[in-house]
Amino acid sequence: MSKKCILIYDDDLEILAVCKAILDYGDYRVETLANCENILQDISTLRPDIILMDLWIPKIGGEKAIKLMHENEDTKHIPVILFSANDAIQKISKKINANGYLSKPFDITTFRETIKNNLL
Amino acid sequence: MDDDFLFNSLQTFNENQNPSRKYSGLIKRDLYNIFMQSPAMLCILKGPDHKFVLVNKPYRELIGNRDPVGKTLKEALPELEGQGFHEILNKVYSTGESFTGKEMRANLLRNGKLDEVFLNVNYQPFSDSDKNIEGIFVFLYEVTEQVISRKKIKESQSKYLNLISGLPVAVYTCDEKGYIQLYNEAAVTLWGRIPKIGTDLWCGSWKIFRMNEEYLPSDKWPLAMALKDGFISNTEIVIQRPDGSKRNVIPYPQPIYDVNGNITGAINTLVDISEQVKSRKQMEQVAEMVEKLYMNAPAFICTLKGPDHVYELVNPEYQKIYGNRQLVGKKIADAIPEIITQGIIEKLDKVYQTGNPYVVTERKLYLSRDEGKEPETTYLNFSYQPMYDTDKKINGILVFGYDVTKQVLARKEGEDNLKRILESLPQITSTCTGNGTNFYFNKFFFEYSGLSKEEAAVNGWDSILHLKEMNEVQEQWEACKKSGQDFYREIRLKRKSDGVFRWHISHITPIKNNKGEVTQWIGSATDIHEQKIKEQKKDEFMSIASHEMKTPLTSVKAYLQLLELSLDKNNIKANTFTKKAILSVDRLKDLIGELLDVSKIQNGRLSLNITEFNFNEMVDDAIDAIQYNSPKHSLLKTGTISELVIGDKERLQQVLINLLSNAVKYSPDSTDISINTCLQNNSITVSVKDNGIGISEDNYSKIFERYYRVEGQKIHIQGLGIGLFISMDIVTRHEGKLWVESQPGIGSTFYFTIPLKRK
Repeated sequence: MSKKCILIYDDDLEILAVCKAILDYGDYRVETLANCENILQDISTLRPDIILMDLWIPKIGGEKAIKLMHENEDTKHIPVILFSANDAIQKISKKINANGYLSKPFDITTFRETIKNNLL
Repeated sequence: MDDDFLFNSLQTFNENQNPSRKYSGLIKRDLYNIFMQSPAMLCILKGPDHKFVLVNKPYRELIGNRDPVGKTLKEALPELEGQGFHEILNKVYSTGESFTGKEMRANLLRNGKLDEVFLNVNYQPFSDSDKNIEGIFVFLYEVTEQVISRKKIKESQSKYLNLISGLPVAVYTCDEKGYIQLYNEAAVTLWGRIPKIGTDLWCGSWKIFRMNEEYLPSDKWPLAMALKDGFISNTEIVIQRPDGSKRNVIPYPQPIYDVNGNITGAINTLVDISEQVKSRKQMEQVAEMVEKLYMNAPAFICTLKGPDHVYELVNPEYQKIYGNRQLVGKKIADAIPEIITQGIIEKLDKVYQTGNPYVVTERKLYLSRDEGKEPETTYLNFSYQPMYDTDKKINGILVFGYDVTKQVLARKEGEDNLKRILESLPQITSTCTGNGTNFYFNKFFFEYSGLSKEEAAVNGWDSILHLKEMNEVQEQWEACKKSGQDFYREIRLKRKSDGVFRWHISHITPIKNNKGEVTQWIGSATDIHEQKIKEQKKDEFMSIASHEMKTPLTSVKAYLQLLELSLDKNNIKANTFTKKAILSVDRLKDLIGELLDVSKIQNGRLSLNITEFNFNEMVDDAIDAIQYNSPKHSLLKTGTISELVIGDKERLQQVLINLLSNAVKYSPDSTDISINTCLQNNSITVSVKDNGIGISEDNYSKIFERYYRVEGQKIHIQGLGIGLFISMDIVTRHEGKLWVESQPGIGSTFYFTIPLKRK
């Protein structure tokens, strides 16, 4: 059985690095991307089991990217966790039907658990 | 009177003389002739059976020219049997005592029939020389006529009495001396007393006064004047009753004359006109009042008669408008020719034709205030009311009104001044009447909006208001008009030159009269667009800045936590340092959050995330968090809220954490902090009490202001000075209250309440 794939979208490379570092402690395959406009293609290539999506991310923004993903029959089943420093994140995540959210800055324990809990 | 004389002379003769001597002497000489020629009826009866000895001619005629001489009474006048005369004569004969009877009725047979006659009778016994009764001297005087006529009078009097007694007017009669004889019920009612017959003279009244309230002595009473002087007066008098009440009366005294023209009495009719007088007085009073009102009214009043509106009555106030100009008797068009072109005659015509009143306020008219003077601007409030004749046809118009020229001009001057000021203002300004009509807009409004006056008159503000605000603005404005409170709101108004909806702060304030009614609204809209845009940019900047700051913070925190995980558990120092670094990162995160909150509150965009939550748990979590970070202090909670609460859990917790961390911060030298929660009257109250440095009362309200910091303290207190400002906003938005009770040096207690909303 192959490792579960976590796909993380964020335009801040530091964030991507630290997320990778956190998840290295677990048994995951971690993929990171700094822009999201090709999300459907990304998914088909990387086959993620869960997606972490930043809200403010070039070029189309996390909200739109998730919408695209949800509109596609092949991708809409993949769990999505919204993560952002925007304090309206809770509302937005509800609005776009995300499976969960993570406020930045986050606690790494919370981070791990949120992913674990949302993995299929 | 002759019968009395004869009676008396006979009596005297009988008493003073020796009757037998005298008698024989008289017979013997010429007394016989006197006897026979006397107009009185005489006869001499002799013996116990009363035999006629002598009768004179009148006697003979009385008994129907029968000759009784030589016959006894029974034989001569058998019809007298049973009429009582025999018995009287027998008594006189047997006792010797004379008898006198007046108006004795006797039925005598004359000419074959029985006549009723009335007689005054005198029976005088006479004796012989031995003093034995010899016979009776009979003296009769017929009074039949008098008796009958008196009877007739009595009958007519009683008829008369019957007649007058039922009359509704007071009627009474007096005899020729003025003594009251007869009176009816109405008279008694009028007098208020029953007159004393034989005592009361002239009238049964208690007192009589003239109309001028002068006392009238009884000999000057109408009936007295009529009887004594033949002076008949029908002048109104006032009768006072014994109970003091007064009646107004017109007397109709009338002397009564006999056939010879001698006054035998008088009759008086008293007509009570008190009611008429009363109503007349009332009418007079009303008329007087009306006249007073009319003449002294501060309003102008006039009446215009007929279809040509001819001045009939003009009160002084009305005349004032037209100075020395002649009005009364003239048609309005002739009297005030300048009015013809001013639409007034048409109004009058319409009122006259339709009967519908016409009312107008502040009607502008050009009127000459004096003959020949130039017409002046005049403002009048007035009404035209139709007047009707007795057939209910319109016959004129009542004009009633006030000259309000001075007031209107004064107000207009004030308005002009105000308008001049408003015109010159470099911001949108507008006024309208108390009910929100009749809008005025200043020059700047038209410049800004590009509207024509006509367009502005139709839609006014609405035509340049942003659609997004339209409904709310209209609702708020309607509410203000109802309550009379200031309208205050930020609105967007479209600028003609570039089509941009620019932000304005709109303030509409009411002007009230002394009754508290809004007479005018003055509204302004100040352009705050640049400011607003700057604020929006700042807001945006704050949002981006906090986001940008949080991003590296996220990495820092994550790396620190990873570092902590990779540290040797035995390296205590390294572990402590890492923990402290993480705490500082959290604190930095909170500060960034606060800054963002303030920015949002300023723009009214701090949004609440309302859910149903366990209040008690929220409180406990907050206490635990603070306790964890401040192990030095002891936080003690009392009271439990078991109900679920509707509200923003995170925000309310933020409030509590703010209060708790303040309590910790401001009580460096004491350790006890007590928290109480309670539910009362459907409202939750949370209190946080410390024994810290306290706050003076002057600063109670200041501490809730933005960026306020406790100053003058030796210790440095951390923070931005915005925590309570944010807390206040959160609590207020939960429809709650936040306040403080404190004493410097003793400590503070902060309270907040929020209404408990159950699902």
